[in-house]
Amino acid sequence: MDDVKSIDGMILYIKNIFHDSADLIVEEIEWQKKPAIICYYSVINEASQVNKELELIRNRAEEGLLKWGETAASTVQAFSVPTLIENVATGSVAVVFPFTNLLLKITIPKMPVRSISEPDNEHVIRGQHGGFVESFETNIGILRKHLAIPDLVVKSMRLGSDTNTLVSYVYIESIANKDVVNDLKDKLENIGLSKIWGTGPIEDYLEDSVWSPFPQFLNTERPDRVIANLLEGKIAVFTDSSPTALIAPVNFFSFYESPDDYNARVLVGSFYRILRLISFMAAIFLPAFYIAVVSFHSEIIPAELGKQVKLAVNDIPYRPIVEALILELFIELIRESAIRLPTPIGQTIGIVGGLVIGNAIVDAGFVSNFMVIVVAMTAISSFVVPSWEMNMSIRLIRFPFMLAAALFGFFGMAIGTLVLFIHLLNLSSLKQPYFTPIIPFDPSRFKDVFFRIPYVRMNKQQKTFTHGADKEGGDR
Amino acid sequence: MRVKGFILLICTLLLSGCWDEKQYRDVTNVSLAGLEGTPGNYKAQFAFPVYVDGAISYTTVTGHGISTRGAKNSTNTSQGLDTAELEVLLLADDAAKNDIYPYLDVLFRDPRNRLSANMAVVEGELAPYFEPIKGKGEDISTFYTQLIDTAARYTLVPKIDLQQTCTILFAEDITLALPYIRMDEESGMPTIAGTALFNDQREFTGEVLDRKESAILMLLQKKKGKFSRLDFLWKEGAQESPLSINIMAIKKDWKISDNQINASYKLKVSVEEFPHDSLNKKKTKKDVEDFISKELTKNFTAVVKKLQEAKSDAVGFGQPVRAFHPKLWERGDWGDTFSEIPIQVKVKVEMMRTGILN
Amino acid sequence: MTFNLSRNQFFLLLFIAQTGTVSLSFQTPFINATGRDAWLVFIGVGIFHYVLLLIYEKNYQYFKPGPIASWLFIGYWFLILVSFISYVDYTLAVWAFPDTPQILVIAIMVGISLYANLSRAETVINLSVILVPLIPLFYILLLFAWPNYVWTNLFPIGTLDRSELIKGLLTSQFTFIGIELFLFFRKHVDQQHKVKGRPLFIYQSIWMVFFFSSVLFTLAYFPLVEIKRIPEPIMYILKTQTVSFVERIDLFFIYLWMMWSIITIAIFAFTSIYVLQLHVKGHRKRNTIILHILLVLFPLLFLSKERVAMIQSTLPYFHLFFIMVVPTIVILMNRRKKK
Repeated sequence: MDDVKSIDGMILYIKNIFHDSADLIVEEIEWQKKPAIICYYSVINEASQVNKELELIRNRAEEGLLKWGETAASTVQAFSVPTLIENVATGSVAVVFPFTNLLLKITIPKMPVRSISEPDNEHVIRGQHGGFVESFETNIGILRKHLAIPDLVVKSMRLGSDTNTLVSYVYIESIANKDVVNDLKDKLENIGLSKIWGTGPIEDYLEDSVWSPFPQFLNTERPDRVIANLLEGKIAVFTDSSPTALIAPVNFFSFYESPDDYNARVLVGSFYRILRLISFMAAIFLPAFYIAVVSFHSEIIPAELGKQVKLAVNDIPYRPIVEALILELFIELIRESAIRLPTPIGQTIGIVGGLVIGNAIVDAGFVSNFMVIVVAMTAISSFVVPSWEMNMSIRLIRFPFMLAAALFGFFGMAIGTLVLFIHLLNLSSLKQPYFTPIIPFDPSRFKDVFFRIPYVRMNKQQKTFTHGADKEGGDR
Repeated sequence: MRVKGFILLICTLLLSGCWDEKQYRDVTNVSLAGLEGTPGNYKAQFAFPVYVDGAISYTTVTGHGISTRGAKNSTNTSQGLDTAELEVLLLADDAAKNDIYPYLDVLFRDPRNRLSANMAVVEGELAPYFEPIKGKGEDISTFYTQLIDTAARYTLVPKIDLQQTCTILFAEDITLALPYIRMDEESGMPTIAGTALFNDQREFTGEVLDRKESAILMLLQKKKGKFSRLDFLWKEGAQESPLSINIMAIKKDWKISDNQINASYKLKVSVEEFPHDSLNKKKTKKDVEDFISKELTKNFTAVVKKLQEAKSDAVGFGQPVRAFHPKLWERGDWGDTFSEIPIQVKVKVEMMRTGILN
Repeated sequence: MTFNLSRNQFFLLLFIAQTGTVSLSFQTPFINATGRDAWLVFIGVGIFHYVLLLIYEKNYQYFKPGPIASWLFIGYWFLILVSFISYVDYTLAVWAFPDTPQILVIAIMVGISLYANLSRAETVINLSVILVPLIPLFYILLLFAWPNYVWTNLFPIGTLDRSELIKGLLTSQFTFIGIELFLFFRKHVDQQHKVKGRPLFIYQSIWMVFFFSSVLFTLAYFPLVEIKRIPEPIMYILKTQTVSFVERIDLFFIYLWMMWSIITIAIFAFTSIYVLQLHVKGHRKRNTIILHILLVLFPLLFLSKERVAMIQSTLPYFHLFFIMVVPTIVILMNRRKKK
């Protein structure tokens, strides 16, 4: 009777630990004529599969196998309350044997997972259309599928005392730099945050300079992007609860590379990469340039255009900087509201906001139509960047530039450019230079930045256009 | 603390304002300026667009000196006048007959001014040139720009902007030649009358080359515009036939000795108009070539004579002289030397194309 | 401070240090002194420059300045910095900022140098990369003025007398300012990179083409009389150039030149602090800040045209002393020690 009592007491005790949650199952089962306790969350475990597994282990135990509990889905541990809590909380089934003081852990999870779909914020035309989902297993599974090598290392840890989130980092042992891996590991282990629910909080902890406007981690939901970066020796950080991978150490220019470049043809890929870098310039400098020209250096406008510009700005009551801020605010509002609204209405808002109000705002004499052109151009250029984080950063940086231009004209812009440049030179991502190959300056690597270099150069092929001549190609 | 200090700094900057700001809407850009009068009694005239209710109209004001600060009406207009976007500068011929650099100094000294404005000398009073032109709208500065640009494209007048004017004024070995604009009596519109010649005291000599002569002056300088057409009347016995050619390329060769200059030119031309036809015959072709060579030699010599009489070395014979013939250069003032030295001009024409007819 | 330079970085650093402010300011005094022979004299000056580089390359191992020499150099660089800043500020005030308080413009410029110098050493070293795409662009714009270059302006030659020649050689020393950095930074260049021979010759050629063509263009564009009136002739050449959508390229150029000068200033400030660190250990941050505060205050004494001219005219004498006499003494002393 004592036994029964203590088993009942134990069940109550375990229920208490988990605050008698409705989805918690704690039951007594019979194991080799003795009572045992099975404990799991019903919603994240495949109950029928667990039964089969239990049956299998029971048979093994009866056969008297030494390692009766060790199967592909189960393991035997010494029993302790923390182990029990950890196993159950992370989605395993725990079978407690009070008499032998052992704990059998069976892991057959039934986690709710979204199916794989193309990430909405990183569309490509050609290339993979699958994205990561909110599951450690699926994500790593995708990586494993593409990188069938033993060098792909996955390390995991549970972080955050309140959330107990599974955080893992992935790298390729033979390519990644050991120091960087160790640095990342230290940083991850030292995260003192109790609540972690996505990659955002982790990113803040891992970044070398949190106050910099530039993202020092590449955020992506695309497996091909992660794989390409892993193969360059970078490290990817996943959390179990987010489809986003953080990639580091990155450099500035990798934000301007899209998987599309490498799927497109060489010339096309190179052209669009250069276009994106030009868009970076336009997104930062265009409004500032216009403000500087209209308020300081009107003499640079060619005569014919000058009349039109003058006609447009002559009756505007505000300074150009105010004009620009009104319009920028307007565009940011459209952008922000379009994200929140369902897709069909979002487009309507875009059209109403962009066309109707844009036209009315000029007619009303609030802003000049040149300013509308400039701000619209800037907005479009800033959306060209293949990375959402970088896009937001650029949208932010142009405000200081506008201010500098309004204060000092081109002088302000030149100073701003220098400050920005020095800041970029100082910046690091996991202690690796962020602005390579500009720091350290290495001209030979610039071709990789501005062009998409072909993977393969033809060798041993037809070498001449002349028929019959030198088919094998000389020893050149 | 650092953040607070930074915010404070930004606020001070914003409050103190922008010292050198010059809002585009607050300036009125003079697009056409003119100058007349004699030293001590300059009168300047400015034309500029005025923007009222979304429309452009043009106004002129007068003032003393070309500096807009002296403009009488500067305070009357709602916005300050600014010569930063000057497109054309007109000099009345009486004003140009004095050293013209002092007028221009203000344009060079102010960093805001653009130096790519066109310059021209006009005949008589300035006022009529600032009147709106019938059928051309009120925008007279654009009219003058186009007038001069077109003339330059057809190798009628030199294309000279303010900076080049200044450069040539200071050069000892070449003198200035500016487009000369005159009111056409029939149409009442300003037209290019030719080229105004200056001497090496930077004064307008009063001599004006007519349109044909100024075209030849351009050829002498080897500064051909996009097109360069010359017309002749071809006579063979009693037969007369118009002949016009387009010059494709010029080669010049100046042989300078201490007491003579031999300038020989080789022109490659194409025939534009020649009803007489039969240019496929060797003889006709040769005859035409010889004829044009002779005519052009005559014309070229006449222009050089005229330049010598005006003591105006607009061609720039002085440049190689100063560079390579110090003896001749040091004989005295180059203006005098130039007017005295015999200059032999010889033109040889080679017909390269005859159009799509023979 | 320990840092390593690649060959490219080293030469870029040297080039920016040698050009900078001087690229705009040296033509007028040089041509005023030598007249039409300027280009001929400059060929000679170029050869002298090359010889100097060769000598430096041969002896740089022996160049280990003691405290006295180091302090002398620091003082000399301070003079250069003050002269550059006051010149840039004067030019900016005349061209673009007549009403802005000059102390503000100076403070902003020096502030940038301070920011760069408080960062890691590599930041200053690589700062000049920002100019790499811009300088060729403006060089091409200068070539646009080709039809207006009158080549007979280069002749006649050989009209120079000895006093003019000496004056010309002195003013040409502006283009040498910064060459002493070769001695200081040469030992930081990656041992695997070859500097001797062709790389050095290429550097010399780039330096030569840059300055020589600026002299040539100025001479060919302007008559001598006009050059006397124009302190920054290159700006005037650009002022008349029009590209299709923008006029007044000079306005862009003046800000490019200002950035260029700021970077030159940052490099000299960096070198001063670096040399200071060789003898006074620690307090790098404090010393950098003190240096930059002085750099804001001193140029305020030299804001009028005459004073800028005065400080400019004394520079070549100091300069000759510091690139010839001091290195010679230091090298000879160290050689003797070694023996």
